[in-house]
Amino acid sequence: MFRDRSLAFKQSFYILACVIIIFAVIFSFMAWQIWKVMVNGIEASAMNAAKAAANQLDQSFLVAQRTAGQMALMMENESMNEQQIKVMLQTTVKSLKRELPSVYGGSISFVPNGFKSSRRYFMLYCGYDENRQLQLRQAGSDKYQYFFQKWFTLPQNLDRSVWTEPYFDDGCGNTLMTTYSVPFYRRINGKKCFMGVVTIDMSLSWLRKLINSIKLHEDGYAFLLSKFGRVVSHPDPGLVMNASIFSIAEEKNDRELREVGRRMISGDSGYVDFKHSKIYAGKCLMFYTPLRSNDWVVGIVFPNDHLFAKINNIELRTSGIAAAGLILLLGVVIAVSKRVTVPLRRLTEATAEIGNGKFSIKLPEIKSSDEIGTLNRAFSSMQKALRNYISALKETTAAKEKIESELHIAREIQMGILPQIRPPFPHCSEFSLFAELIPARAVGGDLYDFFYLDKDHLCFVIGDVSGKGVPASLFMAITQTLHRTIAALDKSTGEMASEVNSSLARNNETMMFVTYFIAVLNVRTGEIEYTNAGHNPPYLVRDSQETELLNTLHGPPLGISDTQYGTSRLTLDSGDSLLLYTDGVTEAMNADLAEFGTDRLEFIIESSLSQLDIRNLVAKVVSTVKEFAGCAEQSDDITVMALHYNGDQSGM
Amino acid sequence: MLRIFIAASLLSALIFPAAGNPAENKCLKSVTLTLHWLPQAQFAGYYMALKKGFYQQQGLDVKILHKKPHESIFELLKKRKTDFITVFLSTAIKARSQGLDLVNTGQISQKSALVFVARKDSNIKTIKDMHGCKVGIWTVDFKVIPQVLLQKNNVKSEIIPVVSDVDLFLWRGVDVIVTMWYNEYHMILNAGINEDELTTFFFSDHGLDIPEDGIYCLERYWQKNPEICRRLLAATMQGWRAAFRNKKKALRLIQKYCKAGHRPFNKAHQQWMLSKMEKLIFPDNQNCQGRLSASAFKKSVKILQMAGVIKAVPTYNSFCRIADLSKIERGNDVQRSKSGF
Repeated sequence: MFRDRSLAFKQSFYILACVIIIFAVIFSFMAWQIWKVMVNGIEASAMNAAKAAANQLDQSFLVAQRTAGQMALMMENESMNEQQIKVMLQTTVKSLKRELPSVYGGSISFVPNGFKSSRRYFMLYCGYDENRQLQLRQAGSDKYQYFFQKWFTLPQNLDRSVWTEPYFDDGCGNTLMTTYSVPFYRRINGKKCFMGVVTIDMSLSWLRKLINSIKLHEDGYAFLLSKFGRVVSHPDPGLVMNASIFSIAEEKNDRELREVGRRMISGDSGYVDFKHSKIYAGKCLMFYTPLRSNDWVVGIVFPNDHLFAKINNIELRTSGIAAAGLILLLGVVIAVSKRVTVPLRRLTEATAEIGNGKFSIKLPEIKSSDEIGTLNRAFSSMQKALRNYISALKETTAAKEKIESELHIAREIQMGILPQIRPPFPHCSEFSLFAELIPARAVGGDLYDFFYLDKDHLCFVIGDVSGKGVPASLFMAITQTLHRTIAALDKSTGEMASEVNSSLARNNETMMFVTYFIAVLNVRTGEIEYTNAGHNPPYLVRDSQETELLNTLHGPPLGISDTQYGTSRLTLDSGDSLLLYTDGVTEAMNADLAEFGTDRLEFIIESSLSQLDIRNLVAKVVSTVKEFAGCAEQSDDITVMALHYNGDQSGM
Repeated sequence: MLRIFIAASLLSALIFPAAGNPAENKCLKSVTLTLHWLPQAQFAGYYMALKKGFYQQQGLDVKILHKKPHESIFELLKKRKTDFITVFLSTAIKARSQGLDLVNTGQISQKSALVFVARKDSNIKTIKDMHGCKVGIWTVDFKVIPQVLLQKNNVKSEIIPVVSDVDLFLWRGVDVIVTMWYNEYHMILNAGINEDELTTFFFSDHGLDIPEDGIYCLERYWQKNPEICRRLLAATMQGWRAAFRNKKKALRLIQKYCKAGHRPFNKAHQQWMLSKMEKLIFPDNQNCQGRLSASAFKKSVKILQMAGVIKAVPTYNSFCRIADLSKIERGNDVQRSKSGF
């Protein structure tokens, strides 16, 4: 992906990517931790707030309960007359009002005909009117049959005190009220009989004020449910006394809320994490705890989105800092990368120039001792070494050129030593002769020669000096000179070879030697006298196409030791041919290191001699060897000499 | 139902060609209708008929009132403070037998909505199980029928008089309480008690299927204005159909009436009530919409006699003066076929 991008880019990218990942992980972890801490904090504070509110409400309810209980006890005294009851009720309500400003009134009611058999209704009500004046009156009548009211029937049927469900009292300015009803009993004929009810009415407006004043972190709010889930207090006044938590659940089609409501009114404290509740648009936490006095429930709702907003705010700010840090980091990374890559780039450019041959170009100056500095110094010394090498190379090349030119001259001289007339003896019809020498190097160690000893005798020589190059060529020149000097008609070829040998062997400290084949042909008779000193045996090809190998050896190569060489003889018939060669032919190698060998040579001789003249035969041998060797370097001098005897033409 | 609605509309158009446009109709007949309880979904059809102009289309200028809790509805009628009232059939028969010249000019509810409710955990599985239990029954005049149900089954229970709420039952002050299916029954559910925690005894399943809400006026009034009585019923039934067709709209209308009557509007409760009213007014297997059937009347009278509530028995024909809507609709069909449709 980044193969073509610069080092600085790659480095910056990877470092930043890693840092961003690390930041993200840290942020998530932090947000989670903050969330936990906040939720724990809210749980504690909300639960405390709920319990504190419940306690505060309980305090007031319990005071009213105690007072009503005391009045009920008094009412069990049968001797109380109406006046006494009136006074008791009035003083109690008055004194209770001082303690509890929310007290609205109180009543004492008897079952029908309970107070007096002649009197069906007895309901004494003592309450404050709109002008805050205490009024005392008898309330029961045919129109208001109080004993059917639930504040009467509930304690009657339950045999215990109850706080009624909240209700709106029409009589006194539509105030939300609740009533504490305590049954009282008297003994009639020794039997405990329910006689009536003592009540204390309390306004709930103070309670709603208290509940509404509970504020938790702006969005949180508190509410109060009655024993059966009716909304007594809620920030939304439309719900108060109109809805129950269950009707809200039904309206919103929220089953979870209904179940929560059932738990809430069951008397337990708890908390709910609403994921999808419809009581609040979004997630929220709800805490609830019951009142001890009347089983009502204080609930506290805490919207989660507020928490999320806080965390988001923290995260936003942290992200801002992180972003600034990242930008700074990016700057630093780019700067550091540049400090590394700019010298590198300059070095690269300089190196490219050096590659183009400008060895003297100035490398960038880098003083640091880091890797780049080291690299630069390495380049610098490389540049120096290259410069030295090139100058040395120039000198060497000059020297080599000089040597080469000298060698070239030597080659000219050497080739000059070899007989150059081709065909050598055009006027001689008795025989035809042809020779070719291809040195492996500028100068070679092979030699051949032919010359007349007199008008009938032709001496021809072929040899191969050990080694190659200049020493071999010098040795060859000596040999060539020697046999030209020594060769005489009165000497056999063996004597000639022996003489050349003794001259060569003398003072031969380099221990060089030469394989040597010398022959003298009587062109008239075809008789040949020859001596072979360690040379490859030549081929004699009869006119009848029979091939013989002249494999008689008369001694070791010349120059090794003082040896007397013998002489052999044979007679060529008309049409016979001789082929002489050096080991450069048979030992020529191709790229696979296979030797040309004698078989290939013999095949050429046998297949070509009848069709080709000897000049072309020699050319054929040379070209076949070259073809065989292919691209392989020529390792040795190649020399081929062929002689064809036509017979004595003069006698015909 | 749509067919009936179209037929009814067509009918009104045929009989009262000028009624379609109230602005043109300058001789609208003023009528006062007093409903026997505070504003709630129990009366949605009347509200809807007024709102949609069905009464006007019938040539009526209807004024809807609600009885205040301390008022006696029959007193209002007697004192000519209202032309029509709505009241339960049993209450009306009782009043008639006591000498009030009351006639039924429309029977809206066709079924009894009364239901005894007990908690499952009180182990009351049959009516007989109520023997010796505390049964909460209203103090007002429809207390008779629940008592008849207990008597019929030879159950002797302690009757605890209750006012119109279910608190005594919720507090477990009574084991069984009588409720209206569309009203108090839902109050129990709304106090967090699930339906599967309750055992119900629908009166209609126990041979006491006395229809409830009906429209009544004094006989004198009917004799003078039979056409008005008939038109009032036709428009009211049209209003009910419209209310059930568009419950959302009906609920919004109920909310308005609640607000005007300074009464809290609990949507869930009113919705429940509206849906139950539909089952009472248009029961699945009955086709006597808006009218009191002779059999239901006879059964009701018998039950009330049994309970000793009434002694003098009014005849069906003298009590029930409902113009038979279906007859008129059929007549309309005949008319149409005659005129070549």
